[in-house]
Amino acid sequence: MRFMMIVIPKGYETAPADAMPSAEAVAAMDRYNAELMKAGVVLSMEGLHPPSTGVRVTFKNGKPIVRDGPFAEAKEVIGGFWLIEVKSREEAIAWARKIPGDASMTVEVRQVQEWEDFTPEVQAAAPNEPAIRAALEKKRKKV
Amino acid sequence: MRFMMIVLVKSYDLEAEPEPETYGAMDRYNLKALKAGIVRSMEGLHSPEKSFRVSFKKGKPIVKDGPFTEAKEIVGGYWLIDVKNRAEALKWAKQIPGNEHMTVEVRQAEDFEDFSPEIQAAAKNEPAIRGALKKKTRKKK
Repeated sequence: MRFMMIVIPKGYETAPADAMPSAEAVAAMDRYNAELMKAGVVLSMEGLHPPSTGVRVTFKNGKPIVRDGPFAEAKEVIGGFWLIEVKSREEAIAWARKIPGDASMTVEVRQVQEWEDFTPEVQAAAPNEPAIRAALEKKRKKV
Repeated sequence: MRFMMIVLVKSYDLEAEPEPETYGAMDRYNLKALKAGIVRSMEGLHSPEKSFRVSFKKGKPIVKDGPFTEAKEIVGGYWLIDVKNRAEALKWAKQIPGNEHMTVEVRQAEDFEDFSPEIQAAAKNEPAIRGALKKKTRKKK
């Protein structure tokens, strides 16, 4: 089972473009990441630049409307994520509990949708999906 | 440059099950993005009801099951893309077959070089982890 552990740092929604975490927090996270890696559970992980450097796109009658960050309506924003592969939900919980978090951090853990999770009707509507998945997996191997 | 295009859904819209044609339009977009060679990865996520959140009080984890009443926006899924510049990322985001229920947030992914020497020194395992992740592929189920 794959799970996405999404980091939601309080305050990041209004962080300046050049915001940086403390070296101490980074070092603790780095040790956690090394542990995840050694356990063989992490598939990918990324950190994101502050929302003040990002954009949001909404759609009205299918037409895109683009707005620059920061996003006043956002109460929570993403700081980064881990994508992990584990045997069970319990194992995902155990890994999430080990994150070196502080009082300003919430981590949301969500199971990733697999092809088999969709109804036959939805699968039929997305005929390219299996080939796209296979191509992405192949691309990963080539790197 | 790598960008994450995050699909956000208003929490009160969550119960509306998308039409199969919504998936069909997304499927055609995904194929186009794949053919253009810009997609690194993309995933959709299960509903918040089946999820949990962890917060930390004095370093101790507190686990809470979903749904998350405090959340006004919920992540539905994402694409991680690799493009030449911000304008190209924006071009791809605008082509998403979106609707009124959907906001797409586009954020640049951090590279190791984006960090100060002090932070880089603090994350001494990072280059090796990145190297290993590139080589790694998903375990067969």
